[in-house]
Amino acid sequence: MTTELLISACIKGNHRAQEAFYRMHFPKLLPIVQRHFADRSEAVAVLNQAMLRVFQSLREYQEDGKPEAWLATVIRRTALNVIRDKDRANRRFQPEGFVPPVSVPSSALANLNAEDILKLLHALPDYLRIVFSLSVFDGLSHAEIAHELKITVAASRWRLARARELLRTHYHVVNSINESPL
Amino acid sequence: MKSTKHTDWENRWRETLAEHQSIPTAEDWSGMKHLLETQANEPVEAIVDPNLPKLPESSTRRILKYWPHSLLFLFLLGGIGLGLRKYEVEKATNEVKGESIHFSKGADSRAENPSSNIDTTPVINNIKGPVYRFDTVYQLDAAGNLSREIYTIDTAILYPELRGDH
Repeated sequence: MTTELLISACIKGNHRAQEAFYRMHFPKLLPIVQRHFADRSEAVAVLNQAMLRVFQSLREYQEDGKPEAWLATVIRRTALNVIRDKDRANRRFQPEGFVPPVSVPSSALANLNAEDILKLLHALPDYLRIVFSLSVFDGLSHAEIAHELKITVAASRWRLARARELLRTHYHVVNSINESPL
Repeated sequence: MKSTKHTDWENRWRETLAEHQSIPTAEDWSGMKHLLETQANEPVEAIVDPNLPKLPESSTRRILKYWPHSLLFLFLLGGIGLGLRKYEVEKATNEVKGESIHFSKGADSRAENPSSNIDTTPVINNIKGPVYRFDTVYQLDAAGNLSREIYTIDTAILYPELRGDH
């Protein structure tokens, strides 16, 4: 079944078509949400909310039959709305102690696989991870992040720098443990 | 807009995560299916911002909202009207209770026919009920003598309970 036919069946409310559409796009879309939400079930709940919007507004979608970019935008917007509603970007759940900066070679970080990247990301507090994800994965500028999260541009810059520091530190800690002699 | 410059490892992370895929479980789809069944036909919720001023209510909406109050108010007004009318009738009835009343066209007729309770002349024929024209209404005491003048009026519809012609 072509994408156009699938979309057409989804618009008519065909549940089998909706399931096929959902299963087809889920693998690419969930990681977009998982960059922001550490808990998988929470990420799936956010994704489902976004997909509901998608199914409700598929009728208005009149593009070239390649809805991936449109879907990613809807998912991103929904995730941002949830972050804003819960004020997660500004909540600090635990005070951070002083962590001395560590030196980690860029090549070591660059060669991580997706699972390890997500683990490191999820070790960050929400208010840092969200800025890091918006900047690195979604390509937003500091001004755009500041606007979306209602923070200052300087705060966005500081949070990105702080997230980088902590990611290096977490990587260093995890690898020190793994490499330590038994 | 100027984009933020990223490090090499950050660029690599973006590529790695873009290739990353996550397979949906049966639970994932069942959650989505439940959402679709419960909310797909509902209208998209409007954004509710507590800082926005409320829109004025339309008059139709106000009427629909407050129609029980309006009905109650009308019933109340009707009740008060009926109560007042009943009170007036009772008041008039009580004033002649136990006594007869005498309608007279004037001093002459009163002198000529003192035993007659009613001395009247119908003047209006096109409405229901007895309508009488008279000059003065008197009370009769137990002995049948004229006691005192009650009303001096011109025309009235005389209700049977007020006639006292027993």
